[in-house]
Amino acid sequence: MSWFDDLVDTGKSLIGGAVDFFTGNSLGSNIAKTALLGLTVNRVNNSIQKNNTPTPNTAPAVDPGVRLQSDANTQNKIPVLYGNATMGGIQTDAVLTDDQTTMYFVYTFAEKTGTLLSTSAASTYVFNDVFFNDNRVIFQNDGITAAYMIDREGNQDVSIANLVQIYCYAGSSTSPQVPEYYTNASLSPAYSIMPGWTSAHTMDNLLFAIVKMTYNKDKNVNRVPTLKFSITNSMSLPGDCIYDYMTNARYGCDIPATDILTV
Amino acid sequence: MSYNLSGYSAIWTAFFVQINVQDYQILRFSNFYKPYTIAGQSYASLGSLMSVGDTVSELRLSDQELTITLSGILSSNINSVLSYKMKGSPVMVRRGLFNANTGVAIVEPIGKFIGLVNNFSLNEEYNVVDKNSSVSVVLTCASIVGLLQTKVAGRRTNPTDEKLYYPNDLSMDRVPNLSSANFNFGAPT
Repeated sequence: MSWFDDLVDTGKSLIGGAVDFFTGNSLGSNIAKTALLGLTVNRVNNSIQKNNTPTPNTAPAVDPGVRLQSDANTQNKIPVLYGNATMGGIQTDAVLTDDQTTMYFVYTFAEKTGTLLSTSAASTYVFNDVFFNDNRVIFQNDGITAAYMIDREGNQDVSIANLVQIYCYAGSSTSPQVPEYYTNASLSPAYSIMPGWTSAHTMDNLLFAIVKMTYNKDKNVNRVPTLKFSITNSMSLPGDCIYDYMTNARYGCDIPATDILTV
Repeated sequence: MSYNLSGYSAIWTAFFVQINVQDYQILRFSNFYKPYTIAGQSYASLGSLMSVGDTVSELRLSDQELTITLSGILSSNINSVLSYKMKGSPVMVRRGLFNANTGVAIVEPIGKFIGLVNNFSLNEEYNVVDKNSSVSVVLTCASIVGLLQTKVAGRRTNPTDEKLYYPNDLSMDRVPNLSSANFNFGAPT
């Protein structure tokens, strides 16, 4: 007998033993038969489910966009800013482009104040910082287009890069300026930025900003942001401020200057 | 500022009124017994024909009103009173102290009240014996403090307020329509 015959005999004895085990009536054989039956039912069930599963739609889901509501209100009062303040601004205009991917907001901050009593110079303003959802915005070299944001811990977030542009104006539509430490010699009047505006949209003696946002759901640029602007007025001395408020006819007491002893 | 008046047996107090009547001229008169000059301007003496209502001396500015009564005006002159724009005319009242014996000023007249004529009324007294009448004009003056307390200034973000100061500016014209507007930002076109 060769080694091959031995191998066949061994196989027969093993198979025969297994058949005897399953056909037997012992406790072990009953448990094994139950488990085998369950496994078979599970496989058959999975096979049926697999055949009934519909073919997934391979086309990408359509982004429905976001419904935004303007918070413009005719009863909002335009404040007067002396010295430095961080303020949110009052929404006074909003435009959605025809392709519905770009929104423009106009935020009005304050009245432009008058001439300083101490120096006879006109009030000047500096936009120190812009905060987008409580994060400080760092602009690209043009001082308009956002490059990234920095949170309170110093972490950078580039999600708004190239998607948000902020145009600042100090005094009228034709008084553009960039935030502190930026320079840009080719700034445009507000009516060249804001859709639908003309040279008759003058925004006389107002500080304001135009915020342009390009929709991007993946980068969370799809909501009205919480914006804060840190602004400094060159009129900060108490005497200058009190005199300005007492004499200004637009937002102050309109007291004749001749009635005020300024020496 | 305080003054020692203990050395005077009697003193006079007199009020000097200056009213800048719109579209007319500046009226200056007092209840002093003779014309008096303050800062180069002469104040006519009306004597007892003029009286000033009670005032309260306060350390802080207050919005109290003041009444000035001018009596003895002939009824034939009433038309001229009604013709001029008394309401809104700036009023300044000064008060001075004088030696009752010599008529010399102890304290030169100084500012007591600054305001505007808020209202006026006419009271006619008819003399049945002489068959003529005289009229009293009562000017009610509002303090500049009271006027400032009720003054409304500034702009709201609506086209009416904006055009009050800048009639040609269209910047706020869309605010009324925007106040309930919705935008489908990012929606497919």
